[in-house]
Amino acid sequence: MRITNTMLMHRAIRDLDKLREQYARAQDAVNGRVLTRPSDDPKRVEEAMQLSGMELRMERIQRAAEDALDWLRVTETHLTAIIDRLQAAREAVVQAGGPLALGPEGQQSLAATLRSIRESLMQELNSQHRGLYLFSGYKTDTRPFVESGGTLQYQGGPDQELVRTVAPGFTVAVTVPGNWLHADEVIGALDQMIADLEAGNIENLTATGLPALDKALENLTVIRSDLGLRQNQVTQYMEQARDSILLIKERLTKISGGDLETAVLEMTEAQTAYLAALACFAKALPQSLIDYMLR
Amino acid sequence: MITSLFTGMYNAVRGLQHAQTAVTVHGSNIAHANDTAYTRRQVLTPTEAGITGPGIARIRDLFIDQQYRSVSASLGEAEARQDVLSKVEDILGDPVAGGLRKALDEFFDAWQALADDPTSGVARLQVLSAGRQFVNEIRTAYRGFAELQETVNDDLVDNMREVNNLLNQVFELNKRISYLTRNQMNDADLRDLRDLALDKLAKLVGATATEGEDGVVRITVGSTSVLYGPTVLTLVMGATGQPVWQSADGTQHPYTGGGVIAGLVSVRDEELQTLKQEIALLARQVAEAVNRLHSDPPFFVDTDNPWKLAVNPDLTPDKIMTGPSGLPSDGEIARQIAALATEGIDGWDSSSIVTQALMTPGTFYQNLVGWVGIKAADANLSYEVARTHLAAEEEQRQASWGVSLDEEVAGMMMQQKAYAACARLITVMDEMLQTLIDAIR
Repeated sequence: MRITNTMLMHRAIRDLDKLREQYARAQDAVNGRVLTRPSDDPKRVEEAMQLSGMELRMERIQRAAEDALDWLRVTETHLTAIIDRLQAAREAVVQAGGPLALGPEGQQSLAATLRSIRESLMQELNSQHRGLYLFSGYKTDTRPFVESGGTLQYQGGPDQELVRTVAPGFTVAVTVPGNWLHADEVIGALDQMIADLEAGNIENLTATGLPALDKALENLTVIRSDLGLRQNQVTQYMEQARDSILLIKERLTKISGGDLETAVLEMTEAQTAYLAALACFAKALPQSLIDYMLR
Repeated sequence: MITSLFTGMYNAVRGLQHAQTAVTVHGSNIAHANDTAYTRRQVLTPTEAGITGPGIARIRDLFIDQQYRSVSASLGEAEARQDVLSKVEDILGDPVAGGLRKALDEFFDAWQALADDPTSGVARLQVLSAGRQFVNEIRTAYRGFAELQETVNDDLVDNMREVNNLLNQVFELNKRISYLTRNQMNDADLRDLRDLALDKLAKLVGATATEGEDGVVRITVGSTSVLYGPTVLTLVMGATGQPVWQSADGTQHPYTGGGVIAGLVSVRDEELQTLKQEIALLARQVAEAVNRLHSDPPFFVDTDNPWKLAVNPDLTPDKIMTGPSGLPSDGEIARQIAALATEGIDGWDSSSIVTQALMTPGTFYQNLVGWVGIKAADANLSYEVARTHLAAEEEQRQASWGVSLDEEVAGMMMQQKAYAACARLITVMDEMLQTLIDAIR
């Protein structure tokens, strides 16, 4: 093939261009920018987009799960307090060795104990977390249990549970709607027992009072154990979310060019090749026969 | 046979003339050594030139020209598409760390945060701000594509003007070359000019040229003869925005060529048009799905106009409906809106990007970016291939008619020696004649 000086020049320029391009790409990789345009690698860009979307969602889920755990613990604490009070009431009645054995004074003091338990129960039933009522469903700004005309009214939203999204598409209830507690029956039973004590209808205490308390306790215990199960569930999801975030981060770093060792190696290679080509270009190209003849 | 001394003298003179002309030609070649449009010239040997005196030949190969021009047309088309599609990528921004995708993710994330804590004033503000950010990104992308389409159109008009200029240039050169050819004069410079114009036309419209006996070329673009004899067609923008060839009497022929013009038309009418439609579809689908859940008051207004789409200006943080009951901790609506991001929106119109009727907006946008990525990567590849191919063709041309300084310098040396030899010959003959003349005295 006939080779002219211009051809040599053009070839050298083209080769230098290519080397510069390689060098720039290697440099981008070192700086962690491999996927800056969709055309860099459409499949990987798609994956990276999906991953960064997932990362954001998992972070939100992790926060929601922490929040859910917080709410579940608070709900459980208050529910436990309610159960403890009721248990105390029950024990007070039972330990009195049968109210019949008590004298009228003993009966009065038992009534007083029950009344103080009733008071602290009311407080627990209307307890708040972060300024929101725990047991009023969605009506977190409304006091759930109010006494009017001697009966307990539930003013919260019936059957409304606050929920948190703890896994993609999966929610868990973090509170218990007040009406599920059957507080009116619980308070009613206590009131009845107090009234019976005061009226001297002592046998009613064991005949109807204690069974009513037991029934309420059973209901509350079931709800509490459910809360415990939910806490375990949320903890599991939280760990899952944490693991997923780690995996996503790792994969993202990998596909968007976090392999620093290879990147640096490639950059050094590209640099060496470029420098060698430059030296070669500077030496060979400016020469022609004209440098030796016709002087 | 006995020859006269004067015959030898004539031979020597012709040798001198040949060497003189040859040095001029070498000089011209050296002067144009770096001019890629220049065709190397050679002095015909005295035998080739016959008795008319020194002649000059232009070393040009029609076959190589045809090859070069056909590749050049592909390059023109690929280059135009690659350039526009890389601008499309610029408009989309960093696909992973920014842009529309991030705004979309953050918008739904803000709803999720609100669902988890409907009483939070900050979460409400965040939903509004993320909504505005999403709208902004939609508008920016849509405006970007619409403006790019306009730019491509302007570019198209400029290039069409250039095509018409070049055709007229070839028409004029045809006339002069034909005159010079008829009168056996040197037309090499004009032919170089004409070949340059034909190269440019090949890149712009994929024109092919054939040369007649009289040195006149006729030009065909696709299936249309656009320059033949005294007829030159003009490339104009037709009524439907498509380029058409128009003759002097107003008849129009559709444009069937390739090159830059074809590349610009295809990217303007296909890719950019599709992108505008898809962005409008994304905006409408997301805005309407959110409005279906948050209808009183609607969260977005002007949902089917990407230029005007906005978060309802009447919407204040307290007017955001987090749940159907309107109770402070009811986050059901917010939860359902957030779930659009994972469970998808129904009713995507079928298009080049939509793979199914029920899709999440994130998947839709991912598909869109993937589609752009594949188109752009294809364009980059075609461009790279065409460029490499053209470089090879350019080498072919240079190998065949590029100037080699070494050759020219060596040639000049040869001519210098030949000149000296011929001059010496004349001196010898002069001396011989002198001897003869002296003998008479």
